[in-house]
Amino acid sequence: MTDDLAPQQPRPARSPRRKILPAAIAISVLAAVVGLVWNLVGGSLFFYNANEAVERRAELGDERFTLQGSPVGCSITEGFQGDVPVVVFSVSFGGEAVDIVHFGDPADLFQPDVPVVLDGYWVQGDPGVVDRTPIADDGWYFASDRMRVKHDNDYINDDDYDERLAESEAAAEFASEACSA
Amino acid sequence: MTHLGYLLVGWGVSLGALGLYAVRVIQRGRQAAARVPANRRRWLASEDAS
Amino acid sequence: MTTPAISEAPVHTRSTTSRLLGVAVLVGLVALVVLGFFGAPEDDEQADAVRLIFVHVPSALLTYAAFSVTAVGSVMWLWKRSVWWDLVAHGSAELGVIFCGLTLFTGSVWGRPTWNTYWDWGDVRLVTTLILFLLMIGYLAVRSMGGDESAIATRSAIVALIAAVNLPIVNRSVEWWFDRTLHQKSSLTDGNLEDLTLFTLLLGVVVWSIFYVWAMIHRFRVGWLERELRVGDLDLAIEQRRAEAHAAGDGGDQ
Repeated sequence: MTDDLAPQQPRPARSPRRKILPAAIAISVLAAVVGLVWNLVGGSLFFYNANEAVERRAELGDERFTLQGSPVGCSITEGFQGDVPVVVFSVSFGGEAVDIVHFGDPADLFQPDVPVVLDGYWVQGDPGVVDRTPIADDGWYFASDRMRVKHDNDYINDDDYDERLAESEAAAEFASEACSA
Repeated sequence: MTHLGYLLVGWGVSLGALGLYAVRVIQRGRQAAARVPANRRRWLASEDAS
Repeated sequence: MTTPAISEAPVHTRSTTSRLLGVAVLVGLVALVVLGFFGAPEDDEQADAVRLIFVHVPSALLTYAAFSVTAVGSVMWLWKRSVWWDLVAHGSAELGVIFCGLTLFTGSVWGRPTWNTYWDWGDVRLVTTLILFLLMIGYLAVRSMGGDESAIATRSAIVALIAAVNLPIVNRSVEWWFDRTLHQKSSLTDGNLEDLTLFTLLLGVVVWSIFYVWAMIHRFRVGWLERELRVGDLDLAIEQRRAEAHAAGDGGDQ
């Protein structure tokens, strides 16, 4: 077309904003993808179950890690160490028990047989807390300062809930055996 | 009712966000429809939209 | 569907179908609030906090649905260069970002009284959902950049397909990392729910789905109109350019 051959003004240079924005978006998307991969690798070891934490005790040393297990009902004691609230209990998973000393308030839904996820580290020795009923009683305890409750996907309203739970949960069986021992 | 604060925030933000989006999309539609020349407001029957 | 005469072309994006859907959403929302707050029973462990499930799970499911539609639309754009599918992909992404944001927000609010935390960076489900959200924010950012319509559609389609890889990872994470995540398994497929809890949850999914369809109808039409505006502006600019070129050509001949 002859129109295209007509004299033209030089095209304005792309504004800095137009150049920076695509780069920023590309970097953000790349960072998100890297974050995804990073998270998948790390997430596969988000926490050690109680039996794995016991198995890897020597390897973990005093390293901070996350532990998961079901609280054993008869082991739960709440009190204070100085001004700090302390919850002393044991958790079980995979046939192993771990004694826990949690510094801080327990989670709202903290209760026997509902799994908890705890951040802390191994400590050898006696925590110096009275009225303990340690189930593992192996000279070690897990000093925790962060507690999350890992509730399940049962959304039930049942008057006989406690009875049903005690009958159905494998953890409850472990608890009854451990507590009677 | 327990956890009422959490419930009101969760439900309120959800319904509020959907409501705001609904209002915004209707407004955008009216504004765009008013600016598009009449002979181009054929989105209901355009062959590209089939 | 009858074609309105140009002179009678609407100055809004509603239609009889969208009106009916809108009424259905409003009626459904009233029923959902009544059942969600007063009909469904409280949970033995979570008490009334469980009522957040009725907005959280529908938001999560519609996130999957909306981004899946975006992925399909993106493939269709790349394959067929279909503007219709490109507009569908864009509209669905916008809605998906809202649903995904609501999923993250309501999950966080629900997490505080139940998990004892708003967020956990170690949880695969949570973090992959956040990454999905960020990727789709990136998608919308690419769409909002100026420039050639076709190039923007192609670039954003590629971002959408990268994000789509994450969709099954988000969805299956609680299965693949079973016993390694704080997040519980699927409530709908693996959960044990009271009848009225399940009914209310399904009602929430239906209401959210109808809202999605309603919003997509409007959003598609908005996208179409805004595209007409951009194309119209471009045609006008080309006409002006040609007029200038003609004027310059005439001047040169004299």
